[in-house]
Amino acid sequence: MLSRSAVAAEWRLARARLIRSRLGLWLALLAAGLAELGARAAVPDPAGLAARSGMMAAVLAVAFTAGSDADRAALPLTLTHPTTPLSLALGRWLGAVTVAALPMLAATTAVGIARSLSPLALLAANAGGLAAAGAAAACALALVWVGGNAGAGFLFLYIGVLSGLSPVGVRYLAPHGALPRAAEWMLALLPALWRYRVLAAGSAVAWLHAGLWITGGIALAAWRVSRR
Amino acid sequence: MTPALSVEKIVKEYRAGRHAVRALDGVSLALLAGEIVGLVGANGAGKTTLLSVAAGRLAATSGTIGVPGAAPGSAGSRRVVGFAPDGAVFPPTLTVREVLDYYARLHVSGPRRAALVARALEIGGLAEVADRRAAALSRGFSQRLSLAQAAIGARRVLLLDESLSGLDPVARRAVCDRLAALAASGVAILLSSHDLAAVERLAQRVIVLHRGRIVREGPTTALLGERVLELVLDGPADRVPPGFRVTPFGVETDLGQGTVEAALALARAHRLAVRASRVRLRSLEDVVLDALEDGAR
Repeated sequence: MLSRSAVAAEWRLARARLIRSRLGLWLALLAAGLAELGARAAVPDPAGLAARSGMMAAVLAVAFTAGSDADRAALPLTLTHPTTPLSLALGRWLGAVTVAALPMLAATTAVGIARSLSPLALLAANAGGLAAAGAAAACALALVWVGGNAGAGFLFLYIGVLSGLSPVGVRYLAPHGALPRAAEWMLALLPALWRYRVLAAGSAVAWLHAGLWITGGIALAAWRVSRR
Repeated sequence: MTPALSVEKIVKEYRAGRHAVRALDGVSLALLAGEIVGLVGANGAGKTTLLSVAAGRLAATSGTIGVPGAAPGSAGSRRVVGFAPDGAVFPPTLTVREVLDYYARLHVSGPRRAALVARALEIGGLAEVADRRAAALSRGFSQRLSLAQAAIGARRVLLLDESLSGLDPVARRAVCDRLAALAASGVAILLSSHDLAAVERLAQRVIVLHRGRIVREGPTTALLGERVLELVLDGPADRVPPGFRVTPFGVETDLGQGTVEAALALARAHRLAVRASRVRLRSLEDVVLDALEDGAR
């Protein structure tokens, strides 16, 4: 079912993408932009910053390491070698999360220094951010292996623009209409900033949600690959 | 002798709208260690589908694929059976060496991997482009990389889909020599190709596929052993004798068990103005075209 060397082979692909594609540049811009916003915020929010940067970076990493047409077209050939769809999905997910951790750590460290935050608060924020990145990466992986990078584009915009709002907030802002109800469902089900912001505080519901997305997303991605 | 790969009554159907299209219709074959088998046929005959099913890349509607010592479709069978598809796509941004290293990691770990990559580079004749991006390779080099990744590891069966197309004559000869060397080392090769001259030179056995069925199969020497009498005529033939075919320069006939004299006598009896005659062995092209005509009837 799972081969450690096969997972490692997939994980290593992320390094080449980070260096040789525009992924590195986009992640650097994302880290710099979010760090700048975090440093200027009235109240420092390292947990929110870690979750947002981790999730957005994870989606970018998946788009660049697994979602392109060439990447998806190369999957069937890989599956003619002794590997499994689960190893493939797990390795790509691991690579994306590793890559996403870099801008997240850079942004939180920069804000932590600028705002003299306690190391413990930063540690908790980064742990939560890593879990949020894992959930976003698994969700993105399943989406791009179903529908290509359009899915990653949608998820990136959703995380960056909409997912800071809670379903309760949406109901308050727009109590009627099908679109706000759809948004409510989306915010409740998909990885969202409003939910993962409290990962650092140890919210059991948030950790369970992230854990379910990590396992479910990877399993869904593996299933999708096996059907190609 | 246990076959290195056995294919039993494979049927593969696709859905095309409301209709089911049968791409393979009860195909059976056995591939022995050390033999090269040519798989030929017109476009759409089912060659690529057969190779994809045998490689485990496509699931058959019915039938079985057998690899000794490994369950069908398992990682164990993929360790033994290599597939080089036509127009293979490799993970982007990697160099040729890195692509092979990526696949090698799926087979072995540790220092043995470097030897595997070096051997694959040698099989593909890729040393000169080893540090070039795989995505930037010409079609010829891409085909060679496809072959190299198929042969990586302890592969005992190679399924090659048009691996000779897109190669210049020098490269094609070099790849043919490497395939012959691999076969000599005990690797069984099923080579699908439209390059009948190369198949004729390489393959010990030829299988002709037509509309998903095997319409002719046999040792290359037996298929090509038949003699053909070619007659060059001074003018077009008014009446073609039975068993003769019209060619651009006159007529020709398969001699079978008959003699040249008897065939010439038949030609004279039909008042053909024979300017010259020669006997040649049938080419693989003749065999394939005949088999396809027979299959179409």
